[in-house]
Amino acid sequence: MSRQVAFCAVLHQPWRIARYTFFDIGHHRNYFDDALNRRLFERIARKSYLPALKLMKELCEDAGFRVNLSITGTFFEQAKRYRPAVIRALRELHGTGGLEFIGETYYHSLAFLLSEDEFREQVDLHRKLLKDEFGEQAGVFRNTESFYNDDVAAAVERLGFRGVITEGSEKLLGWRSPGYPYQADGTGIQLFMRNYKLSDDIAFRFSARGWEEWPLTADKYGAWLEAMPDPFTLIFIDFETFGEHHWEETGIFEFLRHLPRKARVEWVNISKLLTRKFADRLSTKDFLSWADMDRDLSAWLGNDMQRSAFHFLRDLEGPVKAKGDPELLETWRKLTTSDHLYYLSTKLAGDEEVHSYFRGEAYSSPYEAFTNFMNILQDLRSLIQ
Amino acid sequence: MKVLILSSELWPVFSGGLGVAVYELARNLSKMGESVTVAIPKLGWKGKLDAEVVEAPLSAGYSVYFYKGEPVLDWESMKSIYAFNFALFRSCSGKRPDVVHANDWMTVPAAVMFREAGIPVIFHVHSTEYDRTNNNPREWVLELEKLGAERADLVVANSHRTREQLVSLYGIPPEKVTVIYNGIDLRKFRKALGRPVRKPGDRVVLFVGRLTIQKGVWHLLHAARMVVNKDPRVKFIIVGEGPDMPFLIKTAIELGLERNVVFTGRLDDDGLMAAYRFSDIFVMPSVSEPFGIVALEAMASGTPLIISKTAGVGEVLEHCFKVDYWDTQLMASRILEVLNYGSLRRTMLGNGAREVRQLSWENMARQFAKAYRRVAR
Repeated sequence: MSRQVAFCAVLHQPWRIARYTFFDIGHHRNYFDDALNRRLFERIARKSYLPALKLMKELCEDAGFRVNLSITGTFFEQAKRYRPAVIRALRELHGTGGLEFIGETYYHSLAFLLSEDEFREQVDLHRKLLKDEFGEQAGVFRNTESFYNDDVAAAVERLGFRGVITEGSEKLLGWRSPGYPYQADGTGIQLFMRNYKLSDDIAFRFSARGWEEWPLTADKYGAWLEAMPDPFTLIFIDFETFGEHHWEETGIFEFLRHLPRKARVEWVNISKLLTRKFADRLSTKDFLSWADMDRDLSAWLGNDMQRSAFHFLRDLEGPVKAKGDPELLETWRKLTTSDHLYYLSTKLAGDEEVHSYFRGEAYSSPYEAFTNFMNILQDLRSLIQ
Repeated sequence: MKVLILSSELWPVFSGGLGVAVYELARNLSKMGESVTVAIPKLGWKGKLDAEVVEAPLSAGYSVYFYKGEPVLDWESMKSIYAFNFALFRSCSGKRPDVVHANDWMTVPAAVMFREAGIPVIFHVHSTEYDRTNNNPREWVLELEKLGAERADLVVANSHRTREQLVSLYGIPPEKVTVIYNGIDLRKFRKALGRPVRKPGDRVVLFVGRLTIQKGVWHLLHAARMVVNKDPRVKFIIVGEGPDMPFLIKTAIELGLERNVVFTGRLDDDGLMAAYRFSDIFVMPSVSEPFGIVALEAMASGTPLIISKTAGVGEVLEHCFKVDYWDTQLMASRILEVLNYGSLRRTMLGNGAREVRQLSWENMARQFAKAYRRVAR
């Protein structure tokens, strides 16, 4: 039997916040930068979402390709508002029968660290989105940025999922290979471990001319997939890899176009890999994520600013909910999106390049991002007192 | 290697940013085993019209030539400047230096004379005439700067900002201009570290610099008005003196800030350390700032920074706020944010300390030693 490959990608956009100074506190509630969000969404839709979704649809129809997508609620809202053609493209891809949806928090948030109630509510909001828009239900869950520890597995099982995707980090796997069915210790949850080497070969290294494997062709990559000793391989990347992180000129679309036929593997929807026969049990108390070299929470909660902003946000949950104003709750939830904390990171060395790339056009420095965010939280607090 | 440094300032005789940079460079080059002589004027010396030069050892490693010239060496008079430069050349050429390091336009004529005599010259630009005059340059000074840059074997700018000016405004070929940043003496400013000592509840914003239009204190005072409207406990300490002092005091009074703004005049090193230690935040609102060493000093003293986007020092500092000097509302907002968000202050200082550690005078001297060898062949 040929090897199985689950190809997964995340579609996400945060509601980026506007410049909001100390003097704006108490004066207005224009927290989000509509013009910036529109400009970015439209650009990425043109360069990435639309051409890549169309290509994936063709590949599902003609080349036996299968794809698994984690689509956040905030992404869906922005697509609806700024570029509805993206939603049509998603529906067309869905119509081929080759698309499986992955569950997650609607706001791509750190809700799990806020409270179990908020986590459940945001997961339910996302479920409702999938049901209302596509009539689907997700069986496999991926927490924001692959945040994972034993408690996540237990909470996700209580919500009725059967599998969880996380990072195939050595911290959790030890000597084991990522491409086997593992059981989250103490639960019936199946852990899907991302093969970060093969994923990053596409996501980060594809257009790196200094890389010894450059240029990466569908033939070469297909041969790597075939040669994997593991029964299955999980590729998980940012969807914008196609056309935005690597521009069309790098040949990334041609790579994707040829990959399904060149690789003699079976492309699968991820729930097909669910089993009860586990290879081993895995357990971790420490949090994992898929970010940076550290693969932990330090990109979001690594410095004092990030922790104090997060605590401020967390302390608002009770008062915001007690107020009973749905619009206020929605605003607060938009602020729980993990990107807002990521922009505040001051991590140095090799990771800074990645961080400033993503902070990019929104804020010139983590300090500016912090003050905008805190000033907005201060204003929000003034509304509920 | 025998290095002759020509300068108009030398700490502690005169100490603007230039004087400090020349002193630290000479000291560190000497420590590295270079044979260094610094030639400077001695202002205010009553003497003959004929220039006379005396030698004085300043520290173990290097010696200083004081020029004793006209009753007062007048930087506005070309005649006086040339007399100074002739004296520099006459008295120092006997030393047969391997390389001459000229600082700014005041020593250009002497540098050119050395170049004519076949000695390699490095022209080190700390600021340009456009910076110093708020874009109303004097023609003859511009010509001296251009001459210095054209005749030198290598031009060193103290920031990329200065380098771009030399290329675009003076037409110097970009490949001829290299950037070497100033450094900082971390040990000196360690004394200023630690929590501020003062009345609880007081909050202090600090400015240090010459009170001239290009330092932008006028903009800071307008930001101060907005800050005080939000929080009347905030005090602004303005350290330094200069031609604009009466005007700035008048402005502070007109803005109703007499309870919140203190003009201290010039402070000695101990006073300055106390001021840094006393302050919650340092603001450098410069309209024009080729480098801005004080920003590094503030950072080394554990004081968070807001600097103008125009400052060259911004090229080496990431862990601070950068604002447009004219955007006084944003400047005021940033001041209030640093005062109110403790975690912002801690994160900036923790990262900033790491950042300034890389900017030592030793490092600057090493780069110059390499540059000297490049031009001396």
